[in-house]
Amino acid sequence: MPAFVVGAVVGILFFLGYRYYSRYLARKVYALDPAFVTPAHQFNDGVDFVPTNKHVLFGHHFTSVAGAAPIVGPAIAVFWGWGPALAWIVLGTIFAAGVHDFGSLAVSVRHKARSIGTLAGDVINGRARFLFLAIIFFLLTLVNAVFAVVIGNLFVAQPGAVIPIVAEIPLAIGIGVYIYRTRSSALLPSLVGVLVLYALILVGNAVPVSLDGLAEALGFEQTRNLWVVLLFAYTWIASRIPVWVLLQPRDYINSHQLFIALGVIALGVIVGMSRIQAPVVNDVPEGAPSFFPFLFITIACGAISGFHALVSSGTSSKQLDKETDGRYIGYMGAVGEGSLATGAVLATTAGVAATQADWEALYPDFATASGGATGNFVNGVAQFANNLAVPLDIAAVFAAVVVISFAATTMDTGVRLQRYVVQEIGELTGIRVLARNLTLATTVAVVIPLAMALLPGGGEAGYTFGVLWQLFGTTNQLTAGLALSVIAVWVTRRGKNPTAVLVPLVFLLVVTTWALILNLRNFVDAGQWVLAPLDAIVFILAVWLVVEAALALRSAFRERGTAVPAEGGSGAGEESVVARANPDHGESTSGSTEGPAGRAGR
Amino acid sequence: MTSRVVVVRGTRSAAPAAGGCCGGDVRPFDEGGSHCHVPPEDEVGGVYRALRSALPDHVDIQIVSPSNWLWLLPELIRGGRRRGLRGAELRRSVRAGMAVSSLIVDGVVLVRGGLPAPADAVTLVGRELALR
Repeated sequence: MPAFVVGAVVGILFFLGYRYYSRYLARKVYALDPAFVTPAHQFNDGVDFVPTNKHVLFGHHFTSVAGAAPIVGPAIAVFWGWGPALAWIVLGTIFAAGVHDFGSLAVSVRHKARSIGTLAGDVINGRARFLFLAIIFFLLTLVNAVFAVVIGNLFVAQPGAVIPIVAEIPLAIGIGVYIYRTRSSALLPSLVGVLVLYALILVGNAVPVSLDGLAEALGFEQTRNLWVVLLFAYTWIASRIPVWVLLQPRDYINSHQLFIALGVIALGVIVGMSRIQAPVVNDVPEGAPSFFPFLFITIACGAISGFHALVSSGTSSKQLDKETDGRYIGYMGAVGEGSLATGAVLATTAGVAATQADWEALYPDFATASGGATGNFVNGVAQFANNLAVPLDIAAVFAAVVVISFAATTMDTGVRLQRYVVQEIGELTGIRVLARNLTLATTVAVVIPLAMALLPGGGEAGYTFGVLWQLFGTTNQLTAGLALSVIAVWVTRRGKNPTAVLVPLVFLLVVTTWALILNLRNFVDAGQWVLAPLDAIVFILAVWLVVEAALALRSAFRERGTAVPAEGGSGAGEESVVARANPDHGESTSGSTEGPAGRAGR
Repeated sequence: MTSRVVVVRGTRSAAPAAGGCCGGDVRPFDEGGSHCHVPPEDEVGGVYRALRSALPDHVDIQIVSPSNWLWLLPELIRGGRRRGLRGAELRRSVRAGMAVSSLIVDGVVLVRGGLPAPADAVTLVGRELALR
């Protein structure tokens, strides 16, 4: 099957999803109102709350949600064949991710643009806020652990990427300081930064850096583990540096790389007329995890990712000019991520192998498939770049640099966010030293994922990574489940039909709890005493979420049967700021906390 | 034609993006939390509020991150070309507009590299709009 045809069919399906399904959601489920006064107007402070052109906002939203995660999951999941992987990406994007990302934006806009964590407390109940914190804590732990392993694996497989990636740090700092001092355009220096980075690929390719000797001398079981330790040491420092010095200029470079990578995949597929060599449905070996439920937690980002709810309700909802713009920003953001995941499927099924036998050699069992997935993506993209006349060895380093850049930035942000969560948990539990001591909070944020990345496994690296990734996927899906619960309760209370939200919610909760139970049994049988307790904790969180969602929905359906309540759980009918600002639209929000209106007057 | 005023953010207030899935700009805590991590206030907020209250509603005001070149670049090129700029002149104008902390009216770069005080910004923009 020509990869181009598959890509085109997926593109058409995404178009139809946006054209018709998102319109249905906008009109019948979320009931968007173009006259609704959004928080960006109501609390307009020119800082957080700013009415923003939808194309401007989409640029920010898309670059915030698209990255390395929708690459790794699909690259593993093609183990079950490209058919199931692509079907889940397409159906997940249209019927789950689109509903979730768009819904998170819609519900946040109707509740003073509060973040999903706060909304969980407001719309469901106070316990849900602690549940959110716990899920996010594990999610960030696993994000940081899996991406450290991804980068470590790629540094070992592509030692030519080490010099450009290490040089990217002072390069980004240089760009950050230059922009800050000269107050000049970010575009030109960041473009120069990309060019320097790619020129360094030539240097890296000529002088590959391997730490094999050092790792052996230091007694590391695998060289990858030494890289993991070095990466966490780096993030311990990087997460404490002001955002504008390192993170922001790296974002500038990454935003160029995102479009370059998407362009290389699209053009390489078309020019090379590559054909998919993987089977539609792979006859997996006995003992391998079955595609149901594991496919659905292996591909989280790219089909549905709970992290998007944080972006939608964290930043985007505060800048939405018109409520109806939410359809374009939320749903199209999900489609963009689904497109990147589709590119990952094409790279690992068409780009990476010339024949089906070649492909089967790369995906013989789940351990090899998951351990080598990111490397397969890198080699697949390298082949696409080679179709555009870039030498294969240089192209492989280029693709590795793109993936590592995204993964490293994710780690930078992930550790920073984890530090906030640790501080918040310290505050909630009364452990003041944890809440106030930055060094301690950062150390906790680093040590736990470091242990997660190093301790489990004890030998079979690929298996370890695969199950770690699945735990990450499960926790990410639980975050999405929590967001969908909030959306479903809100939709039900408004008297709208919640089926479009309930179907992905129920599906996600079933597959995640099922996968957690199966994995727990496997971990106990295999004596994996690091992963088993972690799985058990995540399972308890999942059950807790099911109970909270069921209770909140039952209550919402009962309320619907009696009277139309004030939006939000704790408002007790009190007319809110938004309601007063929108007397004609009958919308109200709730919440005992003070709204952001005070900031507007700063 | 509706006029458009664009304020380009400074380096400190521009929210990070492009961290990618599971790493982009996220705000898990916004209200009530002890660790409410909002970007620090800078001159953009004051300038924006002053412009919004002084200018009529039909004047569109956008605040753009300097990293959002995908939107900013065509906006500046369109504005420059409308004013008849070509070649090196257009390039200089676009480059000026892409700078952090810029103030742009319909593609005309009034200030670059540092925003004026809110009252001065209103005067500058008002003067530029009066020319149209």
